[in-house]
Amino acid sequence: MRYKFLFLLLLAIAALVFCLEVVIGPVRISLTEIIKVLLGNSTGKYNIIIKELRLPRAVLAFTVGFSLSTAGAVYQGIFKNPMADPYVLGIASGAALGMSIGLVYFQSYYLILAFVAALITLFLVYSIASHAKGGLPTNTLLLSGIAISLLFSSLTALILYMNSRSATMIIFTLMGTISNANWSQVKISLSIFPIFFLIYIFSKELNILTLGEENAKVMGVDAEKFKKILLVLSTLITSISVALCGIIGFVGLITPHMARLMVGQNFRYLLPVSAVLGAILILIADILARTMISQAEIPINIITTLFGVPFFLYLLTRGGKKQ
Amino acid sequence: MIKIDNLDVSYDTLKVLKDISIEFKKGSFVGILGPNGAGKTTFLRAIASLIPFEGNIEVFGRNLKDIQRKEIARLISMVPQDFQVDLEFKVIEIVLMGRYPYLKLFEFDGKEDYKIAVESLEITGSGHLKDRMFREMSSGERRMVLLAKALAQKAELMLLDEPTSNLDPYHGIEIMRLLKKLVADGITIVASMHNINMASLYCDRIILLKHGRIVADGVPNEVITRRSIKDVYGVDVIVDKHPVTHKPHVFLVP
Repeated sequence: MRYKFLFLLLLAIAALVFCLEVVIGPVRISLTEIIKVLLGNSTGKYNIIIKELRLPRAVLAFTVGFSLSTAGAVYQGIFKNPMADPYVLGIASGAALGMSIGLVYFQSYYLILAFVAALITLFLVYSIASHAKGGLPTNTLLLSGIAISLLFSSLTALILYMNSRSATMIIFTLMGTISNANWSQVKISLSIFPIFFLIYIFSKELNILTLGEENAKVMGVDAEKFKKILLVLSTLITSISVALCGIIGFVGLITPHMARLMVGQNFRYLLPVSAVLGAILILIADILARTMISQAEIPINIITTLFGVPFFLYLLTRGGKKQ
Repeated sequence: MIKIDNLDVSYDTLKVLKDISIEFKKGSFVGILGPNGAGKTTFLRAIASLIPFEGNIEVFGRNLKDIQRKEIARLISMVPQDFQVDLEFKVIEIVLMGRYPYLKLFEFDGKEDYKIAVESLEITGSGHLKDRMFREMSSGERRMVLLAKALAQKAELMLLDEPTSNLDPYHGIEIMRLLKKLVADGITIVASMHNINMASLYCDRIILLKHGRIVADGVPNEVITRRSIKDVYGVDVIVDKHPVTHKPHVFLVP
């Protein structure tokens, strides 16, 4: 009951920020004008600004926040690590490398390459961390994620450096931006919803997996199988969002924590709440990115990082106290 | 009936269980005793199919190697020694996880599952903890909640890894009494135990393990003797009769 109310409230807030995202911008457009456009009663420049620029951008912001938060919640659950997220684990950097290779050398296929590279990253980070003494401790996972992330970022930089002609656009995307949103991107981004649905279906397995693999087996969960399925799905959702909007850090880290404060650990409630929270955060961040400096736009990743890093440090020091 | 044939378990090159063949009758309360490293926990983990093993384990007519994990979980439940999760799960949410083996792929736990979970909590006397956070439980309460989770699994065979370890006498006896009651209701219980006297008081069959082999097997009166304790644990003790139950009682000698 409480959960339903909370979820509806969050959806309402998401709808509100979504509208703000469409209304606010360098060109002031009145609400009546927007309604006219949406009803198809308008032609001319407002029509183009709203339909071709602001609407796809708002939808993209929503889906990106939605997917990064989902991925973050799953990673945190599977790795039993409160600081895991697509960015910290290096998976976003892997996807970015794959996307850059795709865009520079193959023109297309960048989505598939992003996914493959992200999967490879996940595999690398996970095997490095689990080879460390004593299983999969929090710090090893984070450190190997950061190491792989640095490696892949410099490989990406190398590729872009050697192909400077096509680099400018890619660099701009990689910095994390949704300003060049268009409807073909939006179409791709909508594929995250069926993936989210699958992850949501597996939320009962995800819950049980947080109690440890052996306990999960006792309860009848095929732990290895579901771990793989869930990691692949959340990596897929990450790579789609990175391929479309570049690296937007820390959203996937923060929102599951906020959601946990609201509904607890049960993924059946945690997943939808953190997904919608993520959408809200990215929409707000994008509004800030467009309005903080007049006449210019800040890449959205800078905004999320500004808020994310203090939070990350807070988690780090809080974890230190507990040990 | 549970039938175990030629069970072998190795960790890497180390053989932990060697050629164990044994049968358990339905509705028996079996205590597994033995020193640290004798293979008690490994024995339970093998029966629960948590680790690879050689040989055959048949539980109520089903060979464990032929059936999937979900089905195993409908036959066998297990209460781990203890675990703590630093996560925001309510007690009832933990117990509901025990209903997983009965849920279909696209199904979430429903009203019936909730009812069973609440009943299980009440059987263990922890109904009042339902909406509390699991991580706030004391170790005695936590053990009861984990037992409730295993009960919610509605399995005929329940395995317990040292159910009374780290518990004060009150909670220890509480748990053993409850297990005895479950056995009377037809559940088969196999529990590894450290406390010989506790096992003697409540179990109707005792198995002594040493270096991965069964060295004694039978009712407490046959198994718990001065000689067998000396043989298995390497300590000299005095074994006398419990004044009330007449079960063997072990006295340590300083």
